[in-house]
Amino acid sequence: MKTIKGTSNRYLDINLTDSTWSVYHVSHQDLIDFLGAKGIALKIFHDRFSRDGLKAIDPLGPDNLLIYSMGVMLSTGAPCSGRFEVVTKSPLTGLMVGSSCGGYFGEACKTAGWDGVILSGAAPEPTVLRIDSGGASFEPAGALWGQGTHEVQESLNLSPKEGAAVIGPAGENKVLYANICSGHRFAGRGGVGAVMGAKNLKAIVARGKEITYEPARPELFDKTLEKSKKYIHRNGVTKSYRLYGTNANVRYGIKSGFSPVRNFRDRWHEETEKTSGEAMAERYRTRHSACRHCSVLCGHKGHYPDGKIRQIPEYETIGMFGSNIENFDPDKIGIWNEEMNELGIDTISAGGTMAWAMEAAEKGIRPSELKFGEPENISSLLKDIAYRKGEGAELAEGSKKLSEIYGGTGFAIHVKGIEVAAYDPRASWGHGLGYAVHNKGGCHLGSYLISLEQLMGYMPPHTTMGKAQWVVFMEDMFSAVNSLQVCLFSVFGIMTEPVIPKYLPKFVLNIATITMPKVAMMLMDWSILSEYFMSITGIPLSKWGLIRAGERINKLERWLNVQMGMTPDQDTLPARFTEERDTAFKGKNTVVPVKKMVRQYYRLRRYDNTAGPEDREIEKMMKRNRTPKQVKPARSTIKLIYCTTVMAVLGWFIPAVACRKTSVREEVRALPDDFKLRFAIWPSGPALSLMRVGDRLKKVALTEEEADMTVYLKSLEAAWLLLTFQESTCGSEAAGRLMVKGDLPHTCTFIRLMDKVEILLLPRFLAKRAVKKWEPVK
Amino acid sequence: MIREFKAAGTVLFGKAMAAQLVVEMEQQNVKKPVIIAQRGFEGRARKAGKLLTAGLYHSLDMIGEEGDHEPYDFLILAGGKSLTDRFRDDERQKAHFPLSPAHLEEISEPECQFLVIDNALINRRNIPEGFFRKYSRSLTGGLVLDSGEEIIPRTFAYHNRTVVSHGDSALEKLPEILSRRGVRKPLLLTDQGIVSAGLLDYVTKEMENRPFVLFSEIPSDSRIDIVNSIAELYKKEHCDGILAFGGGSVLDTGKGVWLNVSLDVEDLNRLAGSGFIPRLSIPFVAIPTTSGTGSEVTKVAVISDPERGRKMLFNSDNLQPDYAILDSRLTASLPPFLTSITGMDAMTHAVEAFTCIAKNPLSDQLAWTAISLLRDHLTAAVEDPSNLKHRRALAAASNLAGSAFSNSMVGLVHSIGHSVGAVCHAPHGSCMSVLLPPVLRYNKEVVKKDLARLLEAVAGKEVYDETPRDKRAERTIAELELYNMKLKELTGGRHPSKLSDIKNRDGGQLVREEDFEAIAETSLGDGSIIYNPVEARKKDILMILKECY
Repeated sequence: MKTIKGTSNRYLDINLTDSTWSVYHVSHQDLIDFLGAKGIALKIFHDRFSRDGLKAIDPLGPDNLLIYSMGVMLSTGAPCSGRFEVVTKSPLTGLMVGSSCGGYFGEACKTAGWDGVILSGAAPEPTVLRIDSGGASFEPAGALWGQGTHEVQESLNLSPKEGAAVIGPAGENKVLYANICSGHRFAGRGGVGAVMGAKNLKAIVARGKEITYEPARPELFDKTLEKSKKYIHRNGVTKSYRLYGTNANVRYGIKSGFSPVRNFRDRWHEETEKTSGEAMAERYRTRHSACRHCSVLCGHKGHYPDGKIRQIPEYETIGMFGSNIENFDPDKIGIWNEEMNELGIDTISAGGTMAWAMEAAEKGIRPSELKFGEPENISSLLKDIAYRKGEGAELAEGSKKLSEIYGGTGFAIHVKGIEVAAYDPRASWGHGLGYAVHNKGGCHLGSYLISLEQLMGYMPPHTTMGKAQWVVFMEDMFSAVNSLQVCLFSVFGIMTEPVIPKYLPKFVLNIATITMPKVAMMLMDWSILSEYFMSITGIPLSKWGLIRAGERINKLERWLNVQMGMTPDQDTLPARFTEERDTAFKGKNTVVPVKKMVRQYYRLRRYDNTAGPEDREIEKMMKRNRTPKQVKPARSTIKLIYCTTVMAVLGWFIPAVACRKTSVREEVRALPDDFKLRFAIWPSGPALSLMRVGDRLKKVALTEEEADMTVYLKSLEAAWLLLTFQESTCGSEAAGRLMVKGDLPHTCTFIRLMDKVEILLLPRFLAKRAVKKWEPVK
Repeated sequence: MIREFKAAGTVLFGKAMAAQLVVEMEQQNVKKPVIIAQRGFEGRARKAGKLLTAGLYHSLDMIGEEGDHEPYDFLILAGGKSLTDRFRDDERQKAHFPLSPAHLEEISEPECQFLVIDNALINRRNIPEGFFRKYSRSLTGGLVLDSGEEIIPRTFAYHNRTVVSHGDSALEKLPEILSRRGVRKPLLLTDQGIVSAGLLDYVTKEMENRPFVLFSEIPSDSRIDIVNSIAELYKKEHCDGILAFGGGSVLDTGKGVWLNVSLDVEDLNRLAGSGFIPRLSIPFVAIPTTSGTGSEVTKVAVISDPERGRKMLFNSDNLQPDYAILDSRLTASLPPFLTSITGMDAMTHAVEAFTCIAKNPLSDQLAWTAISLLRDHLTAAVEDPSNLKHRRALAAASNLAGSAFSNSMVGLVHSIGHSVGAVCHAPHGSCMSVLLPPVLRYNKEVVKKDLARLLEAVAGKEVYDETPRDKRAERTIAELELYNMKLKELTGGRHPSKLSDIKNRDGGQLVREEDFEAIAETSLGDGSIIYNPVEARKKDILMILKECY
């Protein structure tokens, strides 16, 4: 089994249209700038499309890219590192979407030696793609097409080395919020499953366990591992996730009023407790069922009354298919969850669309089979959505498109097309800002400020002060985290476990976080994340470097969105959150002053009037360390002046003094009559030209063409060594420092002449160094 | 078995050698060089960049390993093995610039056309033990023998670009060489002597079905008019490679033609001098038929211009042939007398290379090996001429000695020897054999240490061990005199041990005392006198001539 240090930096680049593949190499500089996973995938989009090209991509067409991107952390065994990112242009929003997913596919791909898979084009018929360390192969999907996500994974008969990423019927039928399944985890949002279905790809199977990865700095890695395990285990939030799964949030929602109730109208309902994590844990005698390498263990399975063991739905599903549609029977939600998983449908968007349809029907805008508090037809409608039958055909388009056709945009609870997650932002303004500005749309995991505002209580929820700063900070942090990639849940523990935030009194923190955000940020310690990156790749990265990388990734994503047609008016919340104050919630009722916070956000991000970064900023980002540096040769003025002076002195000395000596004249006679000799520094340095006149040498001015023989010193350095007598003339020639143009035989005479001149000119002890044999010159 | 000696490329070592690389680049018409810095060594790489002279390149681009190196035509790799491995298959010219002794450790064979070890980055004292031995061993496929402690001078330059194939049927490599360089219609140069000796068939057999153009009228000296007419023939027949098959004059003439057709200059005079010839693009293969001159790896070409009554001297690294083929079958028929004097010629080359001032550790290794091979095989080859094993060894020794002296130069033996040859028309090898011991005696005081070490190569380890240290230098000279005596005996008196022994075909003495003045005068003008460790004036030369008469 081969071992690679760090990461392989190779992506499988697959063209589904002609069933070919090649290798894409991630450059070292790309790794430094964009970290991996989401960052690298965005860079690939940037590199492969022109600005107009980005806009022109049809998300469900063959020119869209679907990129599975793994990240340096995967397969290192670090806690919560078993995730990968799926990036593409979303058919639901028309903008970039990145969805994180667990399951075994990521690790299988990585241990097959691939840091990612880039899919372009579209297969001519339903296909299964097989990946291993040797490359890719293509098979017809055959009877697999039409099967559910778990059914098809069964049919594929995966060996323990293999992991698959598949779509269900929803993806096949290009439901705009279809998802991709890996194991029993999902890349949920934005319709990534529809893109895969449009490419006629039913499944990708990766056979791994061929390559192992070794961190570049093993001791640092081990140290970081220990520290992070400690933090995650201790942390309060992850503790509650460990016990009750993400549904631990339900009770918080009831208390603080962020429960989604009746299409987000009411914020509270007395029966919501029935769907709380604690209630369900008891009811279903739950046990863990989580991703590989997970320390948080938020996933749970339980025994349902009908005798089946099912995965307990996540908080989002419980919310969107519970209180949001006025259903308080958790058993049903469990069944629907299973059905949606099998069909391959995103539960948040499905729930949000259905809730809108219910309200639209109530208000008489659009007739629907759906009704609040009537759960009987949900299952059949889910099937209809997946197969685009009956009302499902329209519901498959999502609430944004439907509300644009029928009206009712005020209560279409989405941002940029993605249905808002099960957290009502009127309970948490910072979280509301997060929804409004997140590049992806109404996804709660852009900055997840509700964790700080409500779940952990570090920040007062109903003020705008400092929120923009925190949203920027958390967005950058999460962009970096999604590029490493680690599970966001582990980040809570890592960030908040350090002593200060843990033990500082809450009210102090509440003041500090909004009045002195930078100080409060420094109380947190996310150096574990940068240390992971550094120890695995060997690339130095500080914790602020990590944030800067995250900023780059975030801004790149936004810029891509702007090219794809995003406009500033999309950075907002549905009217329900900005206009409807009074609800059934008995606590504080507010509306979200989102415009003000968005303005603050733009200012902090330095966005121009496109609500995105300036083109210049992106260009500069792409040029980092990629243009050659200039090295200016060292110029030595002293040496130049010295050599010029010595040459000038020789020019006087030789004719005036040396030629008086008999033995010197003897040598001159060895030269032909009128012999023209030049001594110069290459290529155009100071030169000395002499001509034989009678039996003496006279100083003249000569060009190279005129001289019979030119002796060149190859460089100023060589001249310096010769003329400071550190090297003898013969030594200089022996070292290869001289070049002679013209009549070579007279070189000997020249050298003997030089020797005699040096003997005459220099005191004996110096001259001895310069010549082979010191003899007085007669 | 056919052995191949690799080309070392250019090795520049010592103070201010980075600046010399720039001149080389200029010679090759490099337009856009770039320094590629190994990750983690950017600071030192920048320092290396600064050492490259001002004046030629106003500033140099520097990029990292992963940077975009497409637009450049010359790569300066500043780093270690990981960097050179990365660019191993890159076809462009490359210079390797190690930045620390650790990088040197990693080198075991030539990776790039240039290797620059500048004193500013790697101090002489920090050179890894046995580095040059390892390097030269890689060049010769392990043939090099250990010469003991390496003497590393402050500065030296070593260059060898010829790839040598040698062995009993080395000519079988010829088709492969021609294919490798894409030669479809070579020009084959030789002289009547070769043709009448029946050796031409060895070469023509290897042509397979390639068309070739034959010119076999090369006279015994290389003349400009012959060179020009052959060049015309080459162009008319649209040849695309040159094979020079013969002795010194054939090879020199071949080089003249090579210059003419590669550079397409009207007047070769413009190229006369040392260091001014750029890399020649047309493939040139040298197939020597004599063993000893090392002319297949020399950097010199001498072409006479009888009209103007002068000889043009061309000296350049780029005059070394691309390929040389030493086929022992070609020298098998060499009579004992010629074997002995060419063998001693090689011996002189090697000994002078080892003792003269331009000596360097790479040429030392080669010279040492050459001397050892001659010690073991020269007298044996004279006694048993048809034994190919000895011929092979002699061919290798001659070649190694040739490479050695092409870089370390020769000294007074050659200055006087050339002059005796010019004035008295005596054979080159005879002059060398006779003059070697007396000149060494003249130089002895200055080169005592080197001569002492040489005793092991000249006479074997036993003799070396049993001779007391202060007597070794003298013993070396004595051993060489003994060689001359032994060879004289074996060749029936034809191999000379004194100047007066050198005779022409009729038995008449070639060297007379009246010639001494002229010889001494001429010697003073011979370039090799520069490299002799001891200064020699006219009276010293006369003294030497008298001593060995």
